[in-house]
Amino acid sequence: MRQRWFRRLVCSTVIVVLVGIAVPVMAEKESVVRSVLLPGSGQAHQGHYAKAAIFAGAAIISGTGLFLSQVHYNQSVMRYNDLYGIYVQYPSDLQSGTVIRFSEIQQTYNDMQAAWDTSEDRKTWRNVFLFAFLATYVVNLVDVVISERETGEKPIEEPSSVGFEMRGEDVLVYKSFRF
Amino acid sequence: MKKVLLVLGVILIISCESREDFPPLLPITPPPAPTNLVVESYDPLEYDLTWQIDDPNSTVREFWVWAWSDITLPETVGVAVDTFFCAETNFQIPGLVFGVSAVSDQNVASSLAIAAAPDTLIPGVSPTCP
Repeated sequence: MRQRWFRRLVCSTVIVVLVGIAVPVMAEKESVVRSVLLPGSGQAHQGHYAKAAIFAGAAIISGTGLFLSQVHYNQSVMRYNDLYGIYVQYPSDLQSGTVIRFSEIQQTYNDMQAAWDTSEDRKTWRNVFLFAFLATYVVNLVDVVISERETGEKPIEEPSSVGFEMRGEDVLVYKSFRF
Repeated sequence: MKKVLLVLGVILIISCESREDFPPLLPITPPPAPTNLVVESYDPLEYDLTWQIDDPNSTVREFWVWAWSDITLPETVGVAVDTFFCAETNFQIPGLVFGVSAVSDQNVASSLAIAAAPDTLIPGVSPTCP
């Protein structure tokens, strides 16, 4: 148990430190920082709304899939670890004089095997969504950096797209969007 | 920024769930199950149980005798070191069934040999029950 928490601690610490270093390094460029925090928002800041929608949608879908598949994976791992704990306890129980039916030991082993297989399947799905999320994130960052080099730091100045017209006794207010 | 890092940290702690390695099969040999369990009754409240063990070289230490019925759950009624047992009841139980499992030196119990209590009495004296 201590080892599991230690692994979690090390894993989370390393990644948080990496993110913590990466964010300030890129903090000089606002669009990049926006895309680091929310994929697609940097592109939106640059005025590329179609790309922003694609990146944001891909990030939301892959992120939701990653979260749900991770929750399912965690559930199957918890079930497997519970059965593992029961199974590895049998030798000491038997040595202490407790009589255990062989069918019970065999059933626990079979359940543990099934839980392992289930967790393997869910791990595969988790990795698929993880890869999709990371790919979306990386491509999003690469895109926003390249776009900044092409367009400069300043966001594209939009011509005035808000206006109004008088139509008889009515007032028509309009707003145009560019994609 | 600190809040974002905190949220990322929480998500990553959840995502770093670790799984124990798959253990090897335990070196446990099941004892052979008793065979040919026969239940005879010479008295309405006594039952003679006899059975056999096919593997005489097995590491069977003792036999556990179980009983259950239409109105009771399975429970051990005694332990035998040989291949016979006398079970006694305080009153006649409907649908009485006996089971015998072998227990090895490793404290592992085999599957049960099962036989129902007979409906008819055998005239004579019980060879098992004193």
